[in-house]
Amino acid sequence: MNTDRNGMPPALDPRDWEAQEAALATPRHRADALLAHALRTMPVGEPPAGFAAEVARLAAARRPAVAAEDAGFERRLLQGLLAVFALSAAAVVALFGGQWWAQAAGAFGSGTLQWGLAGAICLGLSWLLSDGRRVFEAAAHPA
Amino acid sequence: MRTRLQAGRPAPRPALATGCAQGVSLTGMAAPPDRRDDPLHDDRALAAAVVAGEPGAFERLVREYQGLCWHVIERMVRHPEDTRELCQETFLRVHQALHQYRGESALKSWIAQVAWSVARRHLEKKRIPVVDAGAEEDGHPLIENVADGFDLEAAAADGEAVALLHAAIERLPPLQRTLLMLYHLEEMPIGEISRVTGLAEGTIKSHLFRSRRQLRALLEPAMGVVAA
Repeated sequence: MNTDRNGMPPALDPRDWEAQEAALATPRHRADALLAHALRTMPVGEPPAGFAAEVARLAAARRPAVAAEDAGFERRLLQGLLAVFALSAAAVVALFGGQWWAQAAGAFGSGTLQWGLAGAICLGLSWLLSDGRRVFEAAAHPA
Repeated sequence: MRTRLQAGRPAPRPALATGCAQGVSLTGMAAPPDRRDDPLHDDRALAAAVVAGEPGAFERLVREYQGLCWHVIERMVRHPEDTRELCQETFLRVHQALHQYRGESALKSWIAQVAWSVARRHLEKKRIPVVDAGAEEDGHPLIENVADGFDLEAAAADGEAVALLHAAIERLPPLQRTLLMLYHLEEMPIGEISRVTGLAEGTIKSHLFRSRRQLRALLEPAMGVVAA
């Protein structure tokens, strides 16, 4: 069969296709009838008895292993992202913290700012003890 | 091995893809899919049962589609042990990726697509060409290959002629014999074969046309017919 370099056959005239389809659908020559019959009855193999049960067993055995692998990947990803977030936050505070403090002290007064900072620390600690603990536990252990 | 006897492909099937059948009303508004009108309802239900881990659901799915998977892979690789292994691999992949099945196409096509790509990758790894680019269009190599074990004159008898054609189909390149099987035995429409194989509809028709012309040419010496 002629094909190009990509294995594409040459273009087909739709009339040729229709004519061949019609010849096989309602054969007028014995050769067409035999070909149509041979195409409809080509011998094919069948899977062995018990194949479905065997594949189902294999899939069931693989499921926990795949789930554990997925969970391990997610845990490592979460740990990595938390580490990147913590480092970025620390770097930003180290670079711009002094500047922000001076600007805020100028705007609100240093007393107000100290009380505000104490409040923020309290909120942060209470988050760490509730939602934050769940995040860290998820990062430390698989689901 | 078995031989499937059926009335045959010739009568074209009615198109299923009407708007109403897909749960879209004539006004273009989405309508809730009715089980009787929705040919994919059972597919979606089976997929959902497997994803939910319902006992026995995956085995039911494998039993339902193992024949199709086996036929696709067997036609491609023509090796019983490889067929078994690759068919297993196909269903394990299906099991792993079934949550991605959206129920927009038949589960049959989806599974056939996985089987096709598993078999194709296997042939590529073994450097076996899927399409035989070197064969001649007039079918002489096919005649030479097949004629070795056959008396072409005796092929005037129907049984002999059909056996000759079956042997010739076995000798076609993997792509061509798989396309013949999907179209004539599994009775898949060209559009569905296109989704399964990723080939353009025109390319599929062209392969089918030329393979059938080659096969018919085999009968010419015995019957003196003119090639269509």
